[in-house]
Amino acid sequence: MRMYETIFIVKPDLGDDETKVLTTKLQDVIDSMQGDFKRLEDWGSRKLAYPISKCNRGRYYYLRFDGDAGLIAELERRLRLDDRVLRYQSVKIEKEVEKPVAAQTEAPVDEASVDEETTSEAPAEEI
Amino acid sequence: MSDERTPQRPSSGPRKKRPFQRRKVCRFCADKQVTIDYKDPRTLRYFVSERGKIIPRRISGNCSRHQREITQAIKRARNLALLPIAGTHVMP
Repeated sequence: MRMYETIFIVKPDLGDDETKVLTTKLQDVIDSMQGDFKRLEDWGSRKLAYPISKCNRGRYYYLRFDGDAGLIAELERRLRLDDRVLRYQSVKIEKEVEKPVAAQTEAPVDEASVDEETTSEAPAEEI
Repeated sequence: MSDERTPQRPSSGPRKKRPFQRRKVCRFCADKQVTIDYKDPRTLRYFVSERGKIIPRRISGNCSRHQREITQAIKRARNLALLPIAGTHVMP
């Protein structure tokens, strides 16, 4: 068993029902492949640093789970095939890193909104 | 920053080595509380130039280990659109 965290970005214009279906499907994949689902965090809609497939915003999800290599291959395959998922990234994490994640994931959400404002202001000044 | 080490003397002889030399301390070695995390673009932004390039070690003053971690984190954050790949992108 290894510890993984996956962040995936979903198109921002999806309804709550669609995202719910998507996330429950991913949780089913983890359960069916003998994985250990830990938690799923919704970071909300954020401004992207650069447009991905013509979307300027994206909805971030943070998924934390334990599993084997087969599980992560299947999970990434699902994410790749889904058109609604703009981007995904899975990282294997070490034991020590696990605890600060909970504290830090809350903070960037607030900070990111501040960052967004500053970044959106910056180009306006240049032009 | 630390101004203890400024071996620059005014009106010294024709010594032309380096005009200004400040000893840089790796901020992650100095402060163990600060962790490097790709999910936190706020601290990473400090190590990225205005055009989105990673600032080299000789300028940022990081130690090699932390510079390596910073580089890894910046590249991960770029994939997730938390950091820009090249400065400010033109939004259509």
